[in-house]
Amino acid sequence: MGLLLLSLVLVVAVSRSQRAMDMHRHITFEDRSPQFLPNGKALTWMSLGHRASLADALWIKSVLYYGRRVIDEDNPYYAYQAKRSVDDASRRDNAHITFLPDTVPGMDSALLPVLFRMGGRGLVNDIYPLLDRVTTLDPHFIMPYVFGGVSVLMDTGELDKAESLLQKGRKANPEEWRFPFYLGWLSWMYRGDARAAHQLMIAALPLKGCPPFVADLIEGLSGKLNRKALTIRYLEGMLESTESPEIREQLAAVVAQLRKSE
Amino acid sequence: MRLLALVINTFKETIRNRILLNILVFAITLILLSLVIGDWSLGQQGKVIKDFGLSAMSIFGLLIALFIGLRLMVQELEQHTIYIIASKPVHRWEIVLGKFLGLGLTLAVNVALMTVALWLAGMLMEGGIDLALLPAIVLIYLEILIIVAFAMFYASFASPMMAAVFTLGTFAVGHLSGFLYDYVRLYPDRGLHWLLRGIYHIAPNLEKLNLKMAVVEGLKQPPHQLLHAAVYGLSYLALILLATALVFERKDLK
Repeated sequence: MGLLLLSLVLVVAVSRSQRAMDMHRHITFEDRSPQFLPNGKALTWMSLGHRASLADALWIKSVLYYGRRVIDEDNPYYAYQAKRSVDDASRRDNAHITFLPDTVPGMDSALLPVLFRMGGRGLVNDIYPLLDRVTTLDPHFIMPYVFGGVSVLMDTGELDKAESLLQKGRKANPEEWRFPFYLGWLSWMYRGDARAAHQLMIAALPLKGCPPFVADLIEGLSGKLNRKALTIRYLEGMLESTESPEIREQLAAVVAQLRKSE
Repeated sequence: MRLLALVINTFKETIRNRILLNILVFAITLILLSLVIGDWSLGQQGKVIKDFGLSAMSIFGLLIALFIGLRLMVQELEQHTIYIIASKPVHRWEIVLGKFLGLGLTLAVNVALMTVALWLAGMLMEGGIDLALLPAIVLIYLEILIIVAFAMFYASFASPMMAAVFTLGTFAVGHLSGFLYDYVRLYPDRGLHWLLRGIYHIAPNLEKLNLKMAVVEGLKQPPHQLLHAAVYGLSYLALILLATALVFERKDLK
């Protein structure tokens, strides 16, 4: 009987003290900055033979970090905390943003709001350092390169970082057609350099797995299609070659919006 | 026949161990849990499950090697039950080999169960069994055996705590030996090269037995990679067992 009473008292004590502590607990949205993570090379050695698993774990962290701050804006908890955590100073400091839509020669202004949402400007400054670590740990993991080179770029405008990530992927995976393909997309859409894009497409064409639509794009880049039609064809190609349902959904929405404005 | 009796006895003894069962259940749970974790990976579930599954196999294999491998020797020596075996007409090297093979058999059962769990998780995700993972799993098993051999070696002359520290240190150095090699080549004018070179040549190069990333991502391997790795691992294993037998042979059991 005494033991039962003691157990009851302890259960009440545990429950009450937990509630008391919860009342004083501040809900914080805190992502530890990857600046405090060792660089990719050091992480490779520290993983003691489990570099791919560590890369996966950091990749999931990157997706969650990005999703909470950019994609999941309807979530009141994350939206509020994320917006609050980005102070005015960091929003003003846009030195890392190297793409400005009005600097691209021949850019159709109707394409701008569709292709370059830029809603994540200043919100996800740590995404590229994270992706850099993921891709150093596992250089053959294609998805993080594509994610950083296309999706993140569309949301943040950090062109130099996106391009350097894709270049890194191309160097580590010279037989993968998607790298010259996406680099071509960057050259054409973001730098307005159709010639460089054309050359990159030609480089992608003989690589294993390169789909036939790339040949159409090469023809389009030679000047036979208008910019919007070519953009749609390019995006449809991306849609076809992307495995991720989330990125596919994102690209499909952009294509639908462009078709509507035709 | 005497060796076989020792092997069977050790197998029966270790397979009933509760620690082993706990570790195994935890490992299989983790492998199945990767199904959920993989869901947050933007369509990369297959890769995540395989990577996490192979890592779980390797890490929990190491834990089993550490707990059971050390216990196997230490318990016998501390509780003096080794006298009973030593008083029988068996060579001491037979005791070492019998215990090693018995535990090796237990580990083989464990690795097989973890493989089934991993294939099951992969089948739920991709609808098929990925046989390409097998070379990596074989080498993970070989790596675990090397760690078991080291645990037994250290336990034959050091205290249990020191033997555990030495075993973990060997595992870490085994995976860092490539780094030592790179360091010596990159900075040839810095000191302590003789020491780093020595460690590189003496310590097991466990990265040579690491095919996890290669099989998951279907990377091209040099010809006969698996064969070379297996020959390297088995030769190294034999050397450690030989050293353990020698130390045990000379050990004063009084």
